[in-house]
Amino acid sequence: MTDIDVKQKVLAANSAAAEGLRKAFHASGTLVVNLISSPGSGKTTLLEATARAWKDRYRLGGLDGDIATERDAERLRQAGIPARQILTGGACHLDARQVEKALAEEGERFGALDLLLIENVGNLICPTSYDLGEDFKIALLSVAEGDDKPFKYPGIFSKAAVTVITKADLLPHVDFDIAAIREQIAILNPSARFLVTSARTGDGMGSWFSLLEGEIGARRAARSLAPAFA
Amino acid sequence: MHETGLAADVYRIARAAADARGGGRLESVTLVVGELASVEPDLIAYAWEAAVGGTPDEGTRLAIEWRAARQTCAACGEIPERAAGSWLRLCPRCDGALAVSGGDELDVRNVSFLEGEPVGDPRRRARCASPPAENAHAQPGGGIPQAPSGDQEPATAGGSP
Repeated sequence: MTDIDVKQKVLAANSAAAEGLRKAFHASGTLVVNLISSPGSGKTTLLEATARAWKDRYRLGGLDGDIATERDAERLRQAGIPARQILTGGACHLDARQVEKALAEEGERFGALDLLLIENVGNLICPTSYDLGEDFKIALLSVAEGDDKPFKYPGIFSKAAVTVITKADLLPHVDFDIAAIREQIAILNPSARFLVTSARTGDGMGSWFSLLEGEIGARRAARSLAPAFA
Repeated sequence: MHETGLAADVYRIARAAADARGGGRLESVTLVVGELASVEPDLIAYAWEAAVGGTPDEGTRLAIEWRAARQTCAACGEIPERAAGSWLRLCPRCDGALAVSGGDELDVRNVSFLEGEPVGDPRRRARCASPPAENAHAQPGGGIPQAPSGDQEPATAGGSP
């Protein structure tokens, strides 16, 4: 019998694809965010509001991961931006190779983008482990889900650079302690940014837009300093 | 249930490593799993059985090497114990915040295989193979014939904390 040391990362193929994507995004000056949350927390609604507000101001594109239906991509297209559905056929997360393939096929329709919005499959666990070449992950948590979730799902809330509380208009109707969430996030990820929003009423959306706008500007500035090869 | 896809990746990596050395049937594969890798040892063991089932490598043992994350409390120092039943990131001694590092490993560390004819691309073979009989993996000596070796344990995984 032969025994060999391998020392190979199981996610190496995903990581290699993600690094390739990241290089391409940096070269084109595209900000890329990976939205992760449980199903029904309002990812698509937040992106619809973003698309409506910014479709004439920035070049936006959306990738929507789901196990079934074209609904989410259709909603973003209705909101005025090019969007592509990635159907995973049962898988619980997006893989960088799926993003690569979708972008290769949509290249012309998407064109050069200022901001690529990736909406992962609704799941607080598995998508956390898969780098998609994004600049940062954004975790969403709706007030109806309960204020114990960061500690129950520490993986995503410690990796996400931004946590967005959604459906804040429901706060009068649910027991949801914003201070408790802030405290848990501060323990899991002291540098994370924290927003409270309602896409329905528009409350808090200004902070969402200004956060993204700052990052889009930073990405463009970084590109203008880089050698022009895109 | 992303363990299914991960188990297939582990098999692909292990098979490729053995093939590169002209090796035959796999005997065992050692997978390092960090506490924060979002991989459940029992689930990856079940997924592994499915991944190798119906292939010439059916019955290959998957050994899990568990790696704990490091928890440090500003007041109490390094904390080896875990809060009961969950991973609360609060010090079980003083309730202070814990700094957590490491524990995100997910690596194929080691592959053992028999000398012999290379068995080829597992993906191609797996597509052609019929599904394994139920419990075939649980019967020592069941499935495909095994060459004599010092390690006859059935597929198993262990080492969860």
